[in-house]
Amino acid sequence: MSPPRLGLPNLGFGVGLRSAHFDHLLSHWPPVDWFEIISENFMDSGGRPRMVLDEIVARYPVVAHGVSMSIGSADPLDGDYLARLKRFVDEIEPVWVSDHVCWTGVAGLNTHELVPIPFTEESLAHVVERVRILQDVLERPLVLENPSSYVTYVASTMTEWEFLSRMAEEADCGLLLDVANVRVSSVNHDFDALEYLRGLPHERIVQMHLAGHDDVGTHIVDTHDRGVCDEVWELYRVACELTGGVSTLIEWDDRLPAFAEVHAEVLKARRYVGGAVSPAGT
Amino acid sequence: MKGLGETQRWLQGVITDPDGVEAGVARASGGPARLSAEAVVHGSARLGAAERLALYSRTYHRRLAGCLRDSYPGLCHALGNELFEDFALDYLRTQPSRSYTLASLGAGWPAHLEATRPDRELPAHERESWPDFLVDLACLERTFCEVFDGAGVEGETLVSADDVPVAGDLGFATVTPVRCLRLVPARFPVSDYLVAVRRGEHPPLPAPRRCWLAVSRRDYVVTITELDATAAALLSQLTAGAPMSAAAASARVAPAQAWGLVRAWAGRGLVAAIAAPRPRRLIVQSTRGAVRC
Repeated sequence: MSPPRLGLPNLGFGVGLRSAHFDHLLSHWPPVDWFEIISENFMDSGGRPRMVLDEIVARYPVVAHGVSMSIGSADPLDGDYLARLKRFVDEIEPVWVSDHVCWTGVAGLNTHELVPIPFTEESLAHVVERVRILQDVLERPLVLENPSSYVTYVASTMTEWEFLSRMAEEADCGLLLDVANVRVSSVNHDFDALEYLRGLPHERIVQMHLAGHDDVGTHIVDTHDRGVCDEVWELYRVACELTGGVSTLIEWDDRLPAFAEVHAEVLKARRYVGGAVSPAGT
Repeated sequence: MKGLGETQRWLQGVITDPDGVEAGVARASGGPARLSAEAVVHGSARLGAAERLALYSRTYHRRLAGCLRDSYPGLCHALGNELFEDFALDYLRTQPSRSYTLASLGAGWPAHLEATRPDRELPAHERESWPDFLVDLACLERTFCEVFDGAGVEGETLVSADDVPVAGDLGFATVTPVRCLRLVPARFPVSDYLVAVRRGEHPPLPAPRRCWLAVSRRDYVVTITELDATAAALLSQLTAGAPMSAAAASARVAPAQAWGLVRAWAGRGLVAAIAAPRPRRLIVQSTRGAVRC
């Protein structure tokens, strides 16, 4: 049986590394617990993004969060991408590597959209096999995130949380619980967000994401363009109770404010977990 | 619908269809037994199945057009937002992304613009000049992106202007430009235009003027040096590995003038090394700490 969080540490409260904040970070080195990077934005860089990342890695814990693994795609895994990702994570040694339970393209194309997969036995077997392969290739545990979604499939035979639970257990991987995505999907698909949270294997939740979204009436759009709303904070509070508190990060991509404002937003999470940072596996 | 792959190919066809979800459903389903959106994804009272697919379709097109806008701000300024988006969507329709990275998304756009110019069937002398401007501007902007994020020479000691010989007996020497140097020919002064746009200015479309642009990077900042025909010919020869004498002869430039140009380029951080083939001596080499012997 795997130890809680796969033995991975609680890093505290982190911020997504964005290029608009590079100058501020290089000149201030603010006291941030950790950073999450989008792997694809750095893994091929020989320029300033990579220089900045190297400086960040030298000073802060870093987690590599990918968007192109396309773990649910019916296409074969992209060997070139995986080789580059392996080389990259060997170089920067992130605390862990994560991506999404989704597919981004098929038939050789990449839509760059995080599209959900049908929650079927076929999909589950397919994803579990690929997670195992990826963990072997990367020589690291993989941590996978629930994406926000706007469609559910007629073919699905289980709930999203059942799928994630079985995937995590059968593939022996971690979960990145995006609490904001749970909120978005629960409204878009009329399910109970609390039932979702309670149905997950909490000891496998390594990290949580927070983000802002836009309620347009007919549905909620996962915009990452504002602070966290009350409903998501309430789900986060419950998730903290269920997990005991794990590494937490705010994602903010559009209408990005100054770094201090983004950092202050994630630090609001302290009120729910007391700000304790625990060592690995505890 | 059966199978993960079949479902994904159908859905991808629907959300990437340039004519929208309804056309996409018809095209992706095909055949007499057409699938409806409701046969694949759930709808609800608030949002129907096709409307849900349309959310992905809109995001797909908007995101990738936005990515191209970030990479091609000059082209966007020249075309205006609406026309730029039309051009971008045409490019995405014919060359959808096949890469894991968005950095590659715009790689084929300059060639696509050239291949789809409206006067492509006409003889060269009968063509209009504005497509030339767009193609050259796109080439420069793509090169700018590649140089910005490609391998550079930061941390290395380059040849300085003072290191460059005055002239004389160094005809067999080779001059090696920095690895991040790219030479871009242009029929318009697109560098001036792009720099102005990147400064937030609103430059008018310039008059045609043949020029050559040496795009490089120094301290992680992209630099653009405009060259005349002679300098461009010399630099092109040197980049291809020709000895100084042969490069100067090809460019029809006297040795003293050629070394003067190299000196000026060294002053702008464009020269990595100057060396003579064995048994001749090494003159200057770019390393972490210059070697002189």
